[in-house]
Amino acid sequence: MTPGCEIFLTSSRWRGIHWEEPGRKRPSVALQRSNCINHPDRYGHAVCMTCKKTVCQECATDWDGIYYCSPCLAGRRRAARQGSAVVGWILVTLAAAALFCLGPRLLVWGATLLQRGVE
Amino acid sequence: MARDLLSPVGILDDTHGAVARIAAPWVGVLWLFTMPYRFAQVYFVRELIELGRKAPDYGEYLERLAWLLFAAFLPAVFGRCVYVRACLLGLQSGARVGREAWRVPGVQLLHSLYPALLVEILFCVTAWTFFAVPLLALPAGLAYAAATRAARPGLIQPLFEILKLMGRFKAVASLLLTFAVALPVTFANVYMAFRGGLWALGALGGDGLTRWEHLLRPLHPMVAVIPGEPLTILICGAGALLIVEPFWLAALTVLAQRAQLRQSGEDLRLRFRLLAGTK
Repeated sequence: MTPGCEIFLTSSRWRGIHWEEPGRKRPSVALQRSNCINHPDRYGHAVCMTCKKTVCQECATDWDGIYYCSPCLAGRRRAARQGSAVVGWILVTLAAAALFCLGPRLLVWGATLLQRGVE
Repeated sequence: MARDLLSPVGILDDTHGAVARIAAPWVGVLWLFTMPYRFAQVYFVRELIELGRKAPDYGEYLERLAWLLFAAFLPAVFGRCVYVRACLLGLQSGARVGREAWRVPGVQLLHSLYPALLVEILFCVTAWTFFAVPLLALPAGLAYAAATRAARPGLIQPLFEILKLMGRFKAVASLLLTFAVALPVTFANVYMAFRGGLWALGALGGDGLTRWEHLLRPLHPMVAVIPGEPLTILICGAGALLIVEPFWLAALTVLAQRAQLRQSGEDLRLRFRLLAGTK
């Protein structure tokens, strides 16, 4: 283990590595148990990978194998939704434009076909 | 609240109330935006009839007219979106609708335009089969009603919403049948109104009415409700469609709103309130 490196253990899992200031006299490896940022009476279960805050089992959400706290997860979901909405806008606009360009040609085709059918 | 939320009679009752509430000025707005499209349709068909067998030789001219027709279709879509939004706001508030009806969300506009264009193209391709025309009237109208439920733009979602509403078979079939009866009756009334106007002008002693008399002559003296001139048939047809369309769109908006109420369980809540005697 590198000197000055502090490891936080939350709920008996390795959750993060924190570098200490050099020269400080502390044990090279400190096993600490941090509590949930939202529920101080509960032990931490995970560390949010965005804001690095410790959260309990209730506050942590596993998304694609990575833990996030509720506000960070909401932010990520919002960003994902905005991204897919932009794609949706582009797709529907392109589809409508394509149909608009195709429409008059098909109308003439259908109309002449109808005319032949009537006569 | 009716026991069956999707009963055709209940929908038609609500439609009457909704149209009466928003008729001024929103039916006028709808007519203003759809009238150019209807007259462009009339002109296109008239030219097609005039050209007859020579129509394929005038493909370029017909295509120019078709572009004009599709250009007129865009404001018609906007007008219908505004009208459907006014209907929905009127149904939700139970009061007259103000300027907020103009503020159509972009998603609603796009979700109306895309399926409406798709149905229009299907209509162009299948018009020669005749039987597809009344069947396409349903998705053409539902495109606007279903778009009010859209939250995010997508290619499949608007079509899925239309299909979901078409799945309410009993209500949809009854509405289709009702309006299929209403359209020829309105057509006959429009034609008779023209004839009545001509008769009134004749009583005033007009000399230049010969051309009008020719245009408005009936197909047969025994069948006085069908015009004999193709142009008059087209204009009366366009007039009948303009008159029926606000009721058709309003009925489909009521259907979409009631389907959503049933889906969300709001109908049960309202029924429980009614049974409990609380407002």
